[in-house]
Amino acid sequence: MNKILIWRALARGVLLESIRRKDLWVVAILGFIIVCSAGALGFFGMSGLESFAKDLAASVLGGFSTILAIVTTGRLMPEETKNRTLYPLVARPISRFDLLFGKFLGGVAVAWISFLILCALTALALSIFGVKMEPIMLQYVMLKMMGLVVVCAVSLMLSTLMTPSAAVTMSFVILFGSSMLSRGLLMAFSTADPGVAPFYRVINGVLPQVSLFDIGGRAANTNWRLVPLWVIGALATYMVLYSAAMLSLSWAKFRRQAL
Amino acid sequence: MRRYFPLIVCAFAIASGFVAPAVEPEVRPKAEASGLHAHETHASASLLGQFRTSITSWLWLRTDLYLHNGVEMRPLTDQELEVGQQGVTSAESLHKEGLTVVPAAERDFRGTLGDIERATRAYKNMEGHSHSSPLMALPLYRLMTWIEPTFEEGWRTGGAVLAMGTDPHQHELAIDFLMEGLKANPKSLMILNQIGFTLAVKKKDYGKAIPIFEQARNIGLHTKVMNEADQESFRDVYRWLTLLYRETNQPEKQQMVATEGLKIFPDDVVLSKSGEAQMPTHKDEEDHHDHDH
Repeated sequence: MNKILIWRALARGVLLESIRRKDLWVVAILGFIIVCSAGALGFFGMSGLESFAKDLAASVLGGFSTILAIVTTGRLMPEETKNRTLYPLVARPISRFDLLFGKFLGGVAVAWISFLILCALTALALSIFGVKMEPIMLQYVMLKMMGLVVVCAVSLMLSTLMTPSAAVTMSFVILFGSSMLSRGLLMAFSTADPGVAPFYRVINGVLPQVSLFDIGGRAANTNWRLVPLWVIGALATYMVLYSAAMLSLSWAKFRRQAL
Repeated sequence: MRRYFPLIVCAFAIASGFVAPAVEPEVRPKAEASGLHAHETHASASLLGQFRTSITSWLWLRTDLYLHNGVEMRPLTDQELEVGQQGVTSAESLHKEGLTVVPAAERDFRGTLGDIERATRAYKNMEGHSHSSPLMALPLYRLMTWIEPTFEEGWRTGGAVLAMGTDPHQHELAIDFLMEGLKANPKSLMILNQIGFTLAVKKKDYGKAIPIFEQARNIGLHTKVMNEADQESFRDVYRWLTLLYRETNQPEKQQMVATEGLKIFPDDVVLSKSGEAQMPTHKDEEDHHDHDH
């Protein structure tokens, strides 16, 4: 069977399952909160608050979409095992890698759809208050979607190693904490011996650099240029390599897992 | 009766909500908001930046961010200060403002990843930087002081930011804003000090500034316990009063205030100089009289 067809079928299954579980309702509720919060903000007058509104929107979008991506992907594999729906899948003529990759693609699809719904609602809320949309916002959306791929890969990898709750918790810690740890390393490096640079570089390299995909700071404030193409290319390469590494680790665990 | 029991309980619950404000001073005593102070002094606090629980503190830090057009700054750590690292200065003053959170290439060990971050985050070389229009920050100061009217630092800094520059209309806005803050915090030395400063320095209205500083002095003299910020404001009140009495040619009052201030702040160089400056003036006057005779 064509690999792409297999992956598509598996991803579609994840998407349908997500709709059946009413995950997208959560997105709708979060979107409603965004619109209501924007309304509350309008109470203070939006003149001069454009940057704040855009910043808040970027923060909320980033936070909510990451949470949804973690929660969706983190329980994909463990729930298949727990509900015993994994057995009919592995009984089919598909490899375990195909299964894992198809689920991963499904997780990414759910994360992207949720993110785009939230984006549409946020854009609506911002446009109500006359906040101008700029081309950099499209870059923000594109890069954020790339970042969500890394989030899903990390979360899926952790879910093959531990229970769903532990995987989700660890994903939160790693994905939200990595930027803080990187920042701490940078601050420490400013007064450290230059000899420690390789050590710091290794730690930093192991951590998922999800914050690099977030250009909300540029999109929210004024007169920032678009992100250069070479940076987008470099981030796309990073996304592919890091996600591949995470999927390889997941596969290394999953292929030996007794079912 | 049993049927109405839930309604009665709800009615009591609602009624308790009406009397709840009476216990607020006990359960939620007025406390200094953990805002910029922590951000300025503790590197760990700046690391935890976005996880602050207080919305006011968060807004406070965001305001600083928008004034720098999104470029996130951080204070120098104790270690950095020890090795003599310098922060960047703004175009408006020579005051050092710390460093950018995203480091410059020469302070970054990450190589390409660092270059990518500098290209994706709001980053630029901030040496000699300028600030965005302070007017854009006004709604934020309004928002944070609306959420937390006792956040004196918010009122004071909001007033100070509004009063930046030479536009008289902005100075009026600043005074109005600070007066609103004074209504919410009638005994705030910090706000009174800022009102006095704006009147004296920005509007050059010494006649109106002196009563404000005198009001602050009076409040300070009757306050038994002061936090560090209030003490600093109280010290400034004495400094400004001596300077203003000098400017308005009231040497006796200048001397009296400087002497009183030195009793409270004996190590204050400005006050002691002001006191010393007064002495030669008297002597000069005597010499002048002798000379006349």
